[in-house]
Amino acid sequence: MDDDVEIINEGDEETFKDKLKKLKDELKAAKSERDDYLAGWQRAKADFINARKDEERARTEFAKFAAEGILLEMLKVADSLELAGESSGPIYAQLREIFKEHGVVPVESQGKKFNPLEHEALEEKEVLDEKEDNVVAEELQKGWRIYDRILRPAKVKVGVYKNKN
Amino acid sequence: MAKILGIDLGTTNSAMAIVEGGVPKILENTEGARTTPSMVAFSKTGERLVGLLAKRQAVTNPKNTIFSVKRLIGRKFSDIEVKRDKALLPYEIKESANGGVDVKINEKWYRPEEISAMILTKLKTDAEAKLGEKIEEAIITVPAYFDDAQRQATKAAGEIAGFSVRRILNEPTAAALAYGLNKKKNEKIVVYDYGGGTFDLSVLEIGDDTIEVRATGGDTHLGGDDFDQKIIQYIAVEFKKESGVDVTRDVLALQRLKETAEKAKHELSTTVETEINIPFITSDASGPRHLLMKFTRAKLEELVGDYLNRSFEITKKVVDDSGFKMQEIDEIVLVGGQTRMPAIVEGIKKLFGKEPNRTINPDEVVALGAAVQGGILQGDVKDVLLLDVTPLSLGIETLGGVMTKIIEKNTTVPVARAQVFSTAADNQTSVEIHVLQGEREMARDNKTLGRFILDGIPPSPRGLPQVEVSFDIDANGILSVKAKDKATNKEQSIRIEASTGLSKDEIEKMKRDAELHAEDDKKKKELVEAKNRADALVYTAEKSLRDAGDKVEQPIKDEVNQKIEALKKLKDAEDISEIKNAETALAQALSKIGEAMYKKPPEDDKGPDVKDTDFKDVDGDKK
Repeated sequence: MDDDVEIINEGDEETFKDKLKKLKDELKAAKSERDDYLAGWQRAKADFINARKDEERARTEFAKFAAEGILLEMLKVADSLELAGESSGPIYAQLREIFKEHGVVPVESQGKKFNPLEHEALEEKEVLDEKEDNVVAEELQKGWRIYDRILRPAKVKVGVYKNKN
Repeated sequence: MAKILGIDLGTTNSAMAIVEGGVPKILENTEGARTTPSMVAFSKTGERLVGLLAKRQAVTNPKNTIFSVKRLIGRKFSDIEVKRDKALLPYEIKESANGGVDVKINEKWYRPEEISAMILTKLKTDAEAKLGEKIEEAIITVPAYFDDAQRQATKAAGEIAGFSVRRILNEPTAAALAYGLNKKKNEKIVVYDYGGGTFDLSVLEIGDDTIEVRATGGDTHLGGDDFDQKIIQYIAVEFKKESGVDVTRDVLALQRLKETAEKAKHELSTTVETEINIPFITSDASGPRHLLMKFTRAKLEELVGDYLNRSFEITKKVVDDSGFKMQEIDEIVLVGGQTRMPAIVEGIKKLFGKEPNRTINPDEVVALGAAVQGGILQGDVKDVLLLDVTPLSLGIETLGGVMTKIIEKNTTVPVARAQVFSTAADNQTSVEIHVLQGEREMARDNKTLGRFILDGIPPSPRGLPQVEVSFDIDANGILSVKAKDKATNKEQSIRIEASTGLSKDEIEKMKRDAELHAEDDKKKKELVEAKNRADALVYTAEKSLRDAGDKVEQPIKDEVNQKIEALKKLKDAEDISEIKNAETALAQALSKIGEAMYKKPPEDDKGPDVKDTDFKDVDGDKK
């Protein structure tokens, strides 16, 4: 039984035209919706592919910096050895070697111009020479770099020249 | 189409997120961090520093390092808040021409909007670098209690930074959006936000199209940083008692103590006791000293008890203000790193009698929600595309009364998964598919969703037929389970509505039960699996004996029979090691059959003689 077929009388010509227009409009709307869905689907697929590429990139990065978390923690051991006066001893040397293998090397700070990228200021220290203004006066804790990034900034005292005039 | 950036512009820290693949994702800044300190500084050389870099020189440049500017934005200088903050802030502020606040940096005066704009500019630049495309639009969040002036000022900050601010969104609303709670019409939500410097409590009501803020409250000077201070004080005092040394006077010692205290606080969220160990914390006339002490969760909770109670008192009051009762609250959302503390989670459970929502990183949930709002505006997050997950695992019952999972819990739907199964007995011509929902190992401990039978399987030895069982969940949560015999292509299926599953509370209970019984369930399952394997081995052994016939000597056959009987006797045993031993014994005996079979020389081999023949390489001639 075909429900869509209606009895059409001669007097229903208007109805027929209306019905046709209605169907055409519905078809137009359906096509537009179809296009939207297709576009959305393609975008989602593209997003997924891009996300996968991002993951791949992140994974290769991660592999290089995978040990970063542990290395950062291990710096505390290096700090303790330095404070214990062991920085010329064999244990410290052993640690330095392991660090080096993973791209971790010390950051220069003593006497360098204060740079928040590499140094963290803990205190100011008054200096008598204007040339020493904003220069690292004392290194309190060593800073370290991992490959091309800063692993932990050096903790320093920054010189401040107060003009007494 | 350019993405809309969702920004949580916080008092102490800011975060940003975008929607990618319909899912919000935090964007890291150029330093690789997921949050950026809300700090701006002008160095002595006139360089502008934002975020972490500003923080690193804050101590030596206090007058020109601006933080917590959110406390000043959009306010009048005469506000009580501003007067209170003026006393606490190391940088200078004054009343601006129109009654607002001006902030001094390097002898110049700036509006708070301009300072916030500097932070937003860094976020914009970093986001564009990360995404490789320009960002033009943003959603910025503000506390629910911000008035019109504060909202306008925040919007202005966004515009100064070069954004077209599509919306200023309430932080608790953003948090609710991140959890998809906007779909829960007519529900009442409490957002408990314990950040670094402020505590905010909001009560929301989800309407048809809107999320309405029914009441707010909090303490603008109560946060996780106060917790850190308590720990530092306690340790410093204890250390002074035993050593006579005040570590707070030594700037490096104090800094190391701060870092250790914060780390200990984090650890105590997952363990009940941690060790504070700072070797060589100081050095004086009597030599170097080490700080070594135990710090327990109980002690921490004691130290910050007042702060916790204060937050719970405020919570009760604000819910009361909203006109709702505590039991009427449908959902609680936790925001802010401090809410990771077990004492807070427990406290919330006690207050409301239900589990709070905390699966999303509480430091990131507001930014993620802002991104979701951006996605909704952009049509990225069409309602029809807000995908759910199936909360519990789905599977069927298999040999021994075990549940075999086909779809793991928390799988995003729509999804289809299938596995191939076989028969348990010889000449088994039908299989019963018992569809289950739950996390327990044994079928009887899970919920039955339905059952059906597939018959007409051609009689065959057990394990030979291939019946593919497929599970399909559509976007409306309707599950279809189909079983198809690969030999005959005969199939049978069943359709299960979403509502026949478990309710939300039942789901939570099921998950908890599974955790509680994990050990037991595991043992039960292992026992069943051992019995199944033993059963299969007995079957194989008996078959091998039949096949071997008289090719194998009687003593060997007797030994194998004996081992078969021994294993069969253990059918109802509870001791898994007994079964394993008997299994091994049978396997060893069984291998003797194979040995015997292969030792015998081939009899009456009437096959053709194998001769080397000459052959021509027929194709080789053609070139």
